[in-house]
Amino acid sequence: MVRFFLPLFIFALFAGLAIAQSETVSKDKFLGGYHMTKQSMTCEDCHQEKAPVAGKLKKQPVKDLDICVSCHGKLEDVAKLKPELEPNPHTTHEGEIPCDECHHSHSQSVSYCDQCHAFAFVTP
Amino acid sequence: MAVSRRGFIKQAAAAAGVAAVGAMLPGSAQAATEPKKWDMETDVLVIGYGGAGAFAAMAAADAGSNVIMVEKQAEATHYPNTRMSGGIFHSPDLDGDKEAIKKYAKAMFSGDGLPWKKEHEMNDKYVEEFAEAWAEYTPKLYPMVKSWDPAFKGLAGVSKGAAFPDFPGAKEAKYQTYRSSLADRIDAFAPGYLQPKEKKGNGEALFYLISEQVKKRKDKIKICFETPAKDLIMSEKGEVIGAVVENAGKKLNIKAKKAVVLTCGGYEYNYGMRKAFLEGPGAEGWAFYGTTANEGDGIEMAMKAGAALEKVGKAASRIITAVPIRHNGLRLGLITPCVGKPGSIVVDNSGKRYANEVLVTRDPSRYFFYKEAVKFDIMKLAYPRSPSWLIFDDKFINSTTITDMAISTVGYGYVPWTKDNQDAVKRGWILKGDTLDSLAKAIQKHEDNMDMLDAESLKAAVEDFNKGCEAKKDTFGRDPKTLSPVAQGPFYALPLYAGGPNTKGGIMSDGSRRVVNWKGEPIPRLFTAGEISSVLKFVYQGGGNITECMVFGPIAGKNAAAMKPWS
Repeated sequence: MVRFFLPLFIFALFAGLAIAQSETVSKDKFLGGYHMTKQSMTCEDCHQEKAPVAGKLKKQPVKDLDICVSCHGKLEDVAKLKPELEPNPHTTHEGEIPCDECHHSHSQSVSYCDQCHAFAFVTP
Repeated sequence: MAVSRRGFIKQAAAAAGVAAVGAMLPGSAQAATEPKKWDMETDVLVIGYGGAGAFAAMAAADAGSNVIMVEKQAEATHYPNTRMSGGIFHSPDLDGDKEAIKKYAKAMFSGDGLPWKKEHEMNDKYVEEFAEAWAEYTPKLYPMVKSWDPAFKGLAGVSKGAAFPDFPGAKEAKYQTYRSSLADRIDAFAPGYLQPKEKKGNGEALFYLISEQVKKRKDKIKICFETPAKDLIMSEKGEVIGAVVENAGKKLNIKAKKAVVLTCGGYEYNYGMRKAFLEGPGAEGWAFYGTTANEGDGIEMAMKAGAALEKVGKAASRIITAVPIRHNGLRLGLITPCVGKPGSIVVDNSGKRYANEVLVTRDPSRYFFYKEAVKFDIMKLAYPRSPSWLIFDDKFINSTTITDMAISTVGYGYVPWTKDNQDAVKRGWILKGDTLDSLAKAIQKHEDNMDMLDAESLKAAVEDFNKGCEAKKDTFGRDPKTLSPVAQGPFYALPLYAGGPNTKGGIMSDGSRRVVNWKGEPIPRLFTAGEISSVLKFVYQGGGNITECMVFGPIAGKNAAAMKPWS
């Protein structure tokens, strides 16, 4: 009996946590929250089968950043949105920098460039 | 252990910071004369295998000449400036207006065409031809490199388009610059020279592709590594007919039946030339972050053959840090892109701020900022900004890598550095103090400060900056985005010296890249290209020096190969 119910119980527990997690994320001030509330995206849209990250502190990185590209376009397209930026953080001497080096979905975004340079970009 | 007399002289020379061995030996002020016996023979002799030498050799070979290219460095540690650089070059769009490119180039090279500039930096006739070549060659550079290897990627250069948008032709030229890469993404923290082909970026990628092209011509181009040229050989008629080179301790005479091309770089590590040519304290007040092989030997050889000099003190420079690892008595510099970052300021040797720090690293002022650093105080008769000091806090050091670890002296193993900068703190290269007072004491003890720093001035500078951060209004007009206070101890200081990647001045040449004497007459059979005879004598757009290797290297090589053999 226990053998039968224990996995079910764990599943239910995790599902509950998952829902709670998804609610937390949707309310936060980071990009993840914006995408969930304003763009009606779900955890699975980005994390796929690894989502939701029920109650774990361990990071579940988004492996396929094509999800970003599918709406925002490639780096060069994004660069064209703000042609006045000099230098442009989306066309850099480092090449194809993954989106999430700078744009974080569940924490404060950072400026990768400013690890070395003094551009002081404000990253959404 | 007994010290031989020679050993003693060597040590004494090193201690005194005397530059080249040549300075110790009785040398002739003239080029060598025709020897009785020639050890090697070729059509065109190229001296120096960097970017310019490679392109000169290839052009001469493609024109049917046999080429010997001698290079001072060993093959295993062959790090010319082109390789150690960001690998940036200019290549306007193919549909850019040629006349506009020419106008833009003339303004950049010599200040020609600028309404406020009466005297141009160089001979107008030569500049006309330099600019003509620039307009013809540069648009083809990107397609050329791409055609060498489809894996090549032209990433964003330093400036978007023309760095000087108000110069004539800047708009219509459709100016572009590219940074070289073979990798989709360059790792800024991985040493360039250790990367496999698919991970190469910057100058490492570009020079790899260039050297592959040189190798393809191995039946025509013979490369001799560890073979420094010592003297040009001149005939009685005053023609350059070869050179004396040294290999494994032996002097060899190489006969060049057509011509000699000098492409062996600037004088970054020539102690005497540094003092002679650079503004301010040329030896101790300056540093360069490129190859240590550039010791001015080509300039000396050309001068002995009668070459005129031109704007020798020009260098695309700013303020950079340097470490007490010395070559020829001169400190090694490091590229320092972090100056101007939040949580940091720059003060002079007495502790006062003097400029908007962002100008040090932003384009295009970063190529001229050294002018601020070599300022002479006409009342105190001192160079108060030599060195200057980058003052930063704990938050800064923990979020920033001071230097670029993929290129330059760190990327090529000349200088050790760690991503967290802590190794440099341990070595005492970065000074540390728990309070600004204790940091001031550490600076005062530094050999270049000589107790000139006033702790009160330093504290006042930090306080004023921090107040400006709060008010979002900086005393020196710094970009508000970079205004974050120097607040969180411990505090740190890093010396900054005038300097940059390379020198640009040297020997004068005409539009055909023939070296000329003070009368403007070409020295027969002597050609040149690259930083030893840079054409960028007024202002500089990032990547200009590599571009000139790719434009004028071929012109020098082609013209050398077109000479009628003298024997």
